[in-house]
Amino acid sequence: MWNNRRKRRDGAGLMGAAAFFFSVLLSSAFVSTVGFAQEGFSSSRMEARTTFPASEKTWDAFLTFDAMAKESRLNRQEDSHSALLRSLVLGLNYRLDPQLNFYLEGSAQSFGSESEFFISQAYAEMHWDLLKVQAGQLYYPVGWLTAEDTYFLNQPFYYQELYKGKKGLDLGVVAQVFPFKNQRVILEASCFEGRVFRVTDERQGAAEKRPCSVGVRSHWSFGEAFATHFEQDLAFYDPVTADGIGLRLQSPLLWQRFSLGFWGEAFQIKTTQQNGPTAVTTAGFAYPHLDWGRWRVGYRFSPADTRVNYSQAPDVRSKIQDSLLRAEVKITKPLSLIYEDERMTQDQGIDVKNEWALRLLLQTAL
Amino acid sequence: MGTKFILSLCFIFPLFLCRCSPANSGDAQNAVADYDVVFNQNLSLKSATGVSGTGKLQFKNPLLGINSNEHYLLAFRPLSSTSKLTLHSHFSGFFLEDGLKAEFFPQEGKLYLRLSTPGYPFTKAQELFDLDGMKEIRLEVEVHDGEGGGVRVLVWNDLISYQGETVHRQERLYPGNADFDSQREGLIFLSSGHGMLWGLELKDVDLTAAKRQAPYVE
Repeated sequence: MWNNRRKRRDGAGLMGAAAFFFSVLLSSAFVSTVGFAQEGFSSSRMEARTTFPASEKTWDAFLTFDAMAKESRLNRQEDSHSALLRSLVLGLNYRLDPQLNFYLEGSAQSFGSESEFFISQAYAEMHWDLLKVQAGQLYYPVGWLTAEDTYFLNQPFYYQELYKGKKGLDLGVVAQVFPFKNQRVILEASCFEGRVFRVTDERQGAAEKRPCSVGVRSHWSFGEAFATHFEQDLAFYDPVTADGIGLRLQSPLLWQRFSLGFWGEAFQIKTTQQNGPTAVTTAGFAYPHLDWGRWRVGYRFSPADTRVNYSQAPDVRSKIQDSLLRAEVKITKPLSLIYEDERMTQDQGIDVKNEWALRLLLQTAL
Repeated sequence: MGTKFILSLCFIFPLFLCRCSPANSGDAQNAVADYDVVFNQNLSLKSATGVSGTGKLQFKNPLLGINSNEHYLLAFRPLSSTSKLTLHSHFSGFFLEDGLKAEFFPQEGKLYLRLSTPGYPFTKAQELFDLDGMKEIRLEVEVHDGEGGGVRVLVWNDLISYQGETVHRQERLYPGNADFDSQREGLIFLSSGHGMLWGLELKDVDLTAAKRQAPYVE
């Protein structure tokens, strides 16, 4: 589904990518009428979606355009290849009455000569004083990056362990309870269908245990946090149980318009094999970042430690180190230029991933 | 505005210069380096070229996970008409043999492959490519364990020959130019590997390279 944007495609060379970027850059600068006001970095789709102005309008819409020139370096010099990926996401929110919203999100993607269109999210949202319910096709409310899979070039490795075949987007229901009037603490539960379609033999399978989560979230003026428990047992896959915590902080403006931020989470993911040993992955990411005016520079460090436990043999342990440098400059309020460089290695320095990307991200309400 | 522009350039240029470091040079290491456990007794160590004979090797460094994508570079010379090289991926060791088995063997001038996952017999032998008198067989093998509950296996012949005269390596690896792709062949595996280790089983084989690399296929 949406994560398919991250598919690698062999596409145009860097020359084509550069030409494309400059053309988009020029056209965007031309059409943009937004001033260079100092804006905070709310550069995620999720924030765009959840911060619709509380206006009288019944329709809200937003658009995200993400163009990326990416070079992947693998094992040999001749393996280095570049790809050009473009995606356009259009979200529509219809407010039937103050308590009932409908949200629809369509995505068009192209990689090289291939392109596709699909509906990524479609759900209804009902909101009362103490309760909010979303039902339809939507993201699992687990981890910061499930619904934010475009913020970084790649999601950390452990997200594959977490979701196995489903990629965190499914038919389901998410309920949020606000036990206090200030709504700063949110109790959350979700349950999804978990049906898996296997491409190779075109078979479908219902989940043995549907993907479900329970958790608590809290947010303040300077940050937010979550704690969550997630379980699933999908057809064709081994059962997964995960517990995670996350924290996001943003300082006020400090000296000379500098500010600091931190974004991170930690998970323990247990995979119980039906005819084999149990694997426990302890993983997470820490992303400290420095903001200055329209600039943001951050470094994501994401280690993963997987241990396979045998009853009558020593445990086997595998460690992965993933580091990602991200630099973003807001050209205008909705338009950002982003440079990212990621390298993931395993024990003994075996390269698992080595790539960089230059992205142009346009996020705006219509 | 001018100062900001210069500051911006000062910042962005070093980032690009960072990319000028040489690519991973792991390919230079061309020996069988990190095997840990040797089973069987008829293997002889050849310091320059690796391992030769009949036996089993279990490698020290674990895989990424029990359901991971792994890429292997294997180079070997068959020493007899019954030579065979078997890759064990995502297993817990030779006592359990609970991983994928990929068996490569030459026959009548061609290289064949048979696959098996835990609890299931080997598939029918699949023809990979003509050997064209090649003395050394160099394969790139990618295993996706747990994909759809089963396994996906891709194999590339890494040495392409033009009518047996000149030989060069595959320029790029992607599913479309794989000599074998179990998904393309419609092979369904009803189980997957249970472990996080890998090993090789040699039968009359001169093994010249065996190592893991970054996966190519998402």
